[in-house]
Amino acid sequence: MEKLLNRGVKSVKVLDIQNVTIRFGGLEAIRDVSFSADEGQLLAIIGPNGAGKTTIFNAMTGVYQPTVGQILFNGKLINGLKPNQLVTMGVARTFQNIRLFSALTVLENVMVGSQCRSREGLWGALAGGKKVAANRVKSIQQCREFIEIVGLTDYLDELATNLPYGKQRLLEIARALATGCELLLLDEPAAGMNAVEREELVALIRRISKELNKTIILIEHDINLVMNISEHIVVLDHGEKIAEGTPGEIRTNQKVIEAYLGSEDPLEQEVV
Amino acid sequence: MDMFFQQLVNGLTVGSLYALIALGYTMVYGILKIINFAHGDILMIGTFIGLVLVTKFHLAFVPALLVAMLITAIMGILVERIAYRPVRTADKLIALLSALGVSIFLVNFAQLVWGTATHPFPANIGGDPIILGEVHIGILQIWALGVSLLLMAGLHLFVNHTQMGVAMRATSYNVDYARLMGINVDNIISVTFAIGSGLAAAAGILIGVYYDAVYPVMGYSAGLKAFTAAVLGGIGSIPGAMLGGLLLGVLENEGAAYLSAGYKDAIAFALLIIILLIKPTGLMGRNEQQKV
Repeated sequence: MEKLLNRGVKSVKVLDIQNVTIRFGGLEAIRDVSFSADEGQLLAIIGPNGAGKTTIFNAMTGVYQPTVGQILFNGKLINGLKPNQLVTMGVARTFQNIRLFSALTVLENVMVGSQCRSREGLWGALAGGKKVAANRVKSIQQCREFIEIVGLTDYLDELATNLPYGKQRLLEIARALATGCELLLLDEPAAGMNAVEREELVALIRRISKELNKTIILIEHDINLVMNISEHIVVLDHGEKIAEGTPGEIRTNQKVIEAYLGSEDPLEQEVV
Repeated sequence: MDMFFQQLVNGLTVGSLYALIALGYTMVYGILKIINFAHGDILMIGTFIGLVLVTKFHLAFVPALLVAMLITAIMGILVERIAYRPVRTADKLIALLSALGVSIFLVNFAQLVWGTATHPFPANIGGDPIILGEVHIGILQIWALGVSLLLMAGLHLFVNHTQMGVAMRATSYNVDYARLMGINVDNIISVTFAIGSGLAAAAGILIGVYYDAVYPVMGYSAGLKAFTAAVLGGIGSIPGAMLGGLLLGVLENEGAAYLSAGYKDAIAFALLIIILLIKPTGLMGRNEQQKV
């Protein structure tokens, strides 16, 4: 807290990454990276392949631990916590390679997400009772609402594996929302989506940001999408932060242009 | 034809007990990918607990069954904490050795406390058998079949219709994904061991009553048959364990009746080999896919 005050920060950041370095043996995947996200902010992390984007996501979700540095969530140090503890605290994510429970239905997948908020317990599940049943009905109702938000109501009882690729990504978002998260991490949500699906995704992310008031951090390769949607952009290259700022600032940042693409007007070229 | 139906009844009775035990193997395998070789011995201890409750504490059969299930469930949790959790990240072979260690310990513990002799199980369940034509359905068979089917139906409801059940299936699908979705995997594993051990205690007590025999190495044969049933049905699959158990029970009894009773075990294992040759994942097993 003292440290935050010394730096002149008035409100506590939802996420504050302070001088984080992540080493795997001799390989330095992340070198001294710092950035933060304010409440309700829509922040994007961009960078070429191998820049360390997913690595930093993994550090935020307890999969990796920072070798050096601190990660604070709502002012609390989260280094060393396990992934499931972080989900319970309010950090949820989706994955670059879709990681659904493919043998479970759409509704069941979202129920898995909501499980960390459930106080059913073993005894409740075995013994039942009115209160347990009522809570379960309420919880399933909430799950249905999240499924409706992402537009998968028609697929409620379909097995996740039978959904088209783009819809599987949406299901991951619904599942993440069902954890009751405050901070939502989206790892390349538009990958593999067609133009129409992308447009719908942009609308969905905006809605989650504004209506559900979630803080969102997004990794994305589609520069148009990033420029269009994000309020703040962090650029990583070879594990280092080379720039950060508004989309306008990033678009004209010489360092980004050089490192990221190395041509005259690269950010436009990236869009295929 | 009467013999066929008589053996069908006998087979379903034994098969439903195999199924109850097989569920414990399959649920643990589904999540931890290890075979809990101490499962049969947990069953044996559960049976002795039931016996003590009936003979020393003079409990009626049903309360004794329930209390023994509860105590054995707690024991299952302890076994996992003590013997499996510390070696969870180590090679699977280490967990296997640890399981064998638990097995040896439990058998010797039972021999120390209750001796090596065979004890009768005075359950005081009386009643006339149901007679349909020439087919006799004994009162103990009705109990065994009824209790097992009830417990399996309960498990089915738990796994498919409660949040914890869904979490358990998710964990069984992929432990890492489940953890990333906020599921406390350690708790789920404890619950899995508790349920598996509780069901084993119920099966053990029913076996003890059915054959009127309780002894320290009874878990060996029961465990081996149930393990066969679990593999037959597709290890890791809950409906598979139920199906495998019933199928094994029926086929080995029919086989014993029409071929020779001496071939009973041979039939069971020949069946296992044939099914694994045709369908290596078992009847309802799913292919383990390695994704990058």
